[in-house]
Amino acid sequence: MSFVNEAGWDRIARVVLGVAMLAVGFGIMGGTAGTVVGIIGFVPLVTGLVGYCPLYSVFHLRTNRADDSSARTA
Amino acid sequence: MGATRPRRAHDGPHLPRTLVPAGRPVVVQVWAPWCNSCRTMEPMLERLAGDYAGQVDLRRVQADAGTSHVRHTGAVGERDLRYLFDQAVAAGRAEGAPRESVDPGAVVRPAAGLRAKRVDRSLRVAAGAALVAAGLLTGPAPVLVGIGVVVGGSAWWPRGTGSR
Repeated sequence: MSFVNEAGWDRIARVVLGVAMLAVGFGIMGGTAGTVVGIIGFVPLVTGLVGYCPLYSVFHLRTNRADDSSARTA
Repeated sequence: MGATRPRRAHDGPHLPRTLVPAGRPVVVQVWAPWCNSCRTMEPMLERLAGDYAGQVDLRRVQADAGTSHVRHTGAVGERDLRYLFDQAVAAGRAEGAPRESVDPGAVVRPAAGLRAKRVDRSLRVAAGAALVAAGLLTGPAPVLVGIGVVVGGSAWWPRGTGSR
């Protein structure tokens, strides 16, 4: 089973977006709206760090080329 | 043409820089025109090189070329890949296989995985640092700092036994 289905650029973009959303939500906005933004920001952050996107899996998509499951076994 | 046996490949010092690009594992295949197992391995190596393009480089050195590169092959330049090659050779020997029949996939896949691990770790550390910095600059926001510490610290968490 191939675990990682995101390419490097995809992961970096997700992490940057997630960090930005967390920073804006919890750091700048505050309040309920800020908390909501921050919580939503967890999604791209976690999927970027892990390298696996469940939505990609549902639609049989991937942005990386090779079977990157070796990232889990090395 | 008297086919001469190549000089015995042995573990040597690092490969010359022309053969080993900086920062990327290299699989070196020593081949010779008379080597049947080399020809057998070639399509497999080509496919692996394509699958892992950008993560691992494949280099071929002709054994009969008499170049100084040959002395240094047998293992490979990058320390990690050399370790993997030796492990793969040891595993092959344990099964009674000759040294030359090392499965190239046993070296290429872990080598690509090594680089992926480094990228993964770098990403976690960078994300953690960015979150901690954002938490300190926008508040301080302890939630952000806490998340940043957890994310950055996860770079050193031992992985599970990711079975394939």
